[in-house]
Amino acid sequence: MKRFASFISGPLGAIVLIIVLMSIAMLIAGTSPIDGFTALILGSLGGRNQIGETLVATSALLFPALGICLAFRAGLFNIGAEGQLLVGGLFAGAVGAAITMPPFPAIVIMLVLGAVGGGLWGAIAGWMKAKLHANEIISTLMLNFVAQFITLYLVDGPLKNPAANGAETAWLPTNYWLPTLIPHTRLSIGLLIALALAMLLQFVFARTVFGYELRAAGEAPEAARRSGVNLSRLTWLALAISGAFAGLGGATIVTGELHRFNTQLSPGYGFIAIAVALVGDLDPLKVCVASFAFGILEAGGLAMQASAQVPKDAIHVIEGLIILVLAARRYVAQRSERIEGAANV
Amino acid sequence: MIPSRGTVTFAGQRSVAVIPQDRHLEGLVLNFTIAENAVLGRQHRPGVQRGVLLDYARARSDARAIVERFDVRAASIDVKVRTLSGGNQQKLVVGRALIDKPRFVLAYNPTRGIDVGATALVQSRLVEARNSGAAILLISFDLDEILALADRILVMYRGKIAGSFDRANVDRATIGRLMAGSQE
Repeated sequence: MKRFASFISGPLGAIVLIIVLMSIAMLIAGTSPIDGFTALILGSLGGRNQIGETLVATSALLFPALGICLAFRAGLFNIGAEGQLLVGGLFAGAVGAAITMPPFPAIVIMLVLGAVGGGLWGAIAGWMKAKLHANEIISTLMLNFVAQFITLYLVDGPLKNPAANGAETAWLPTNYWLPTLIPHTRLSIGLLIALALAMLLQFVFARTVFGYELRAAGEAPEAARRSGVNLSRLTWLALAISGAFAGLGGATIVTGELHRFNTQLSPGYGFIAIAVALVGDLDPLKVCVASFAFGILEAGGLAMQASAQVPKDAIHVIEGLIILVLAARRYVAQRSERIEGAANV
Repeated sequence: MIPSRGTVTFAGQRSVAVIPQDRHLEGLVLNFTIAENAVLGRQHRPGVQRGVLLDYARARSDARAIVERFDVRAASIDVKVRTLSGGNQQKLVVGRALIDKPRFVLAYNPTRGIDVGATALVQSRLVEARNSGAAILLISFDLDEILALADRILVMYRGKIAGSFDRANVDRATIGRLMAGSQE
């Protein structure tokens, strides 16, 4: 029993368990798991286009996941990455359609304003938490809906591209597009920005006083407060930075792949990113790996649907199962640590 | 002790070393290592903070100094504080409070709930700090500890100072009565 627990709580055990659960989900959906996994792998890694799409999803997940990682490490449950991503995307799309200047400063302005937009959206919840003691889980979650409807109103009204049928902003001029990373794919250099951000975040956690105080506040808020950490400042700052990460992600989707803003910008990246951050143990470098794994699921899921007749919803069932496995894993790990700790006294 | 407002200054300085009452809640981050806890509350001190960076090499050397001087028993300074015994955790808390050679130390029940060996060590290190010039305000519910350590004893009852004694002429029975609220 003890060996089983330590196996399940290890990363290898989690992978085996996830594969078993996925197989069960495919069997229930009426597909042979072998066909399903073949379709999943071919659809996500089977060629340049497929790898490109996988990395597009990886990049889109990595920005909000890193932001969530920062908030969670500070002990703040930011469930609002989806809305922060939308607001960041809207800022980038609206500004990019309105300005006229050389491409390099234009792209920089769009990305920076995307981060500012998402940061402001996160800071609202941060301010409410710090000043009014509003529970950030509720406020960040609810602000998703506010963001969704405000952005929809704006792109269906004042910011609507009159030439388009749907609700969207005007297209960005082609020289405002983020350069492509792999030729003939949709993948932009946004992925490199995301990876650089992950390394920066790792550095902030491991080397800076801010990162130290943030981790202390997340682990033991009372000890941190008595050690001179300004908790209310840290709260709104952490949620603002967390939102800025998601907003920057929205801006890279707009400038890198969509080239305009509409509210179909994200098929729930901000929510899936919560699972990504947890799968990555809230460690920025592991979160990169987790984003890639979920990128495979996102891109391969479509192929599974097309060639193996596994419904796309099965992918969401699988994602839910993965979260469950990881939550259980953390619980098992905590329990065994507690037992060890008790033995040492 | 929850400070509701205000600041404490001693000889014009803001920094006061505190040995808190509840080491788990107030004094340690249990999931941090010994090295990380060695700079808790000291993270803005010159030499620990360098620009925006925290000097982890300094944290490690401070941790080694505390572990050695205060006999903290641990496999290494990289183990989580959660895995240490209560006495070793408290020796770390006291060691951290004294490492910067503070001129004023507020010690709140510094030996509560720890074993005899750790108690003796903590007490002797507090006396050493006093001998090298630190003022120590010891708040304790342990009368034996107070009689063993204090130079001057103030008895508080219901938030007011009920009596004041020099160690040379204390009377256990009188202190006991004042602690219980009787008038002198």
